[in-house]
Amino acid sequence: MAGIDLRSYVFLDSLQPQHAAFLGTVAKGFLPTGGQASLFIEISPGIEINRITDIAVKATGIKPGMQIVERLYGLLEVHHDEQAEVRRAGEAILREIGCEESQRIKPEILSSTVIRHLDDRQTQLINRTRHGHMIVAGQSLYTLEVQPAANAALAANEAEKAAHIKVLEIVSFGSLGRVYLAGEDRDIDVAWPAAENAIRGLSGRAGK
Amino acid sequence: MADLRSFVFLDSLQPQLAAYLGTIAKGFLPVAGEASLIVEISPGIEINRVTDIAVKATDVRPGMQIVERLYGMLEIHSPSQGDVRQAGVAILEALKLKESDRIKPRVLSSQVIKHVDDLQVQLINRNRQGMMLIARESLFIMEVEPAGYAAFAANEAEKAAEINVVDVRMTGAFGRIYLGGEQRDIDVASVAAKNAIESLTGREASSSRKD
Repeated sequence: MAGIDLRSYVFLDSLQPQHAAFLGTVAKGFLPTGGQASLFIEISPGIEINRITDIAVKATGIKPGMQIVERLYGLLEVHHDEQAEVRRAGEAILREIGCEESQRIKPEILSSTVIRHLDDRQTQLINRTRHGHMIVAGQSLYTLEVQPAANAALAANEAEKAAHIKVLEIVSFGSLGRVYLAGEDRDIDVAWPAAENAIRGLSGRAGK
Repeated sequence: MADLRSFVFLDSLQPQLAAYLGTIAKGFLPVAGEASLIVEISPGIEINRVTDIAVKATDVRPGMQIVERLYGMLEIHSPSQGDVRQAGVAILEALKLKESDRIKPRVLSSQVIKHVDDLQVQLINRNRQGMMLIARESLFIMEVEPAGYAAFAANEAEKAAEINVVDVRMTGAFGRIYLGGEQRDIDVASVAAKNAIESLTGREASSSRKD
């Protein structure tokens, strides 16, 4: 399949409990559970994701959680109890589109911000649009923007491994990925370097 | 003549309940520490008149006004307990009722599900509006009648223990609260919620539900 641009190839070794619960809230497909391995694939043009899902479900026993065709890009999330099964699905997809993992775009952090001690009124605005935990007044808020979008899933998962934070929102499709985390200052200050380091640790080609 | 079902005064909205109301309310959003009053009457359509009285008599802000199948519910709040209490007095006067005309709330069911499975957690999370329930936490579910008292039970539980407010349904035939957390915290929260409901006075009313 020529002409498919691999944007993200994000392997999560073990979905953390909140991340799994969050996906269970937003996903329209099969819902993952904590501890499962997960793979996020993002390609362009978006419509080709239908073909990618076809390969993944026929080649292996993985379950698809999300398949999103948006303005420009397509996202597929698949998961399974066995890491090997998820990795095998990834290999089958890469073979089909004639790419290697290293041909993904090296993710870039566009913004990374901590807002400390949120006011009551600001928490209300965030809570009305989030899908995960609520943020409570007085907590600190961390927001991360990353491109390509699917890398937001890795940043959130690694942050949850590192610190006792609350996952408010993870947007892993579209032109920008976004992560919203809340918690006490001491936890947020551990979570944000973990999120940034996870993104910086990924290799790939330069994006456009 | 309206029938007074719930008349629930919350002295201080706890942070999560305030955040939860801020998520579901279609009106003015309350913040933590404010006082709140929930009035539930029957027939539901009469709640429009109740709101009229409350906002004209005092400085309170209305957060929710819901007309549902049978009942009507109004939530108002203010940083000043005095304003909220005064609004309650004005409402009761206009309706020619007393606080003691409310229905004495009763707990219809109460259960704790320990160590909730990943699969069950997902179903709960897709329907809740508050905090997520996380796998292996414990889940406390309580049903109360009339529905408005669910807010009081949740607020008192949040004062007592470090729980997550997953959902509080305070309109309709029954109120339902869903709280998540560690077992030690749920053990404290569930007692606080039940005690809160049992502490309230009111007239006896027959329930439409026979358990």
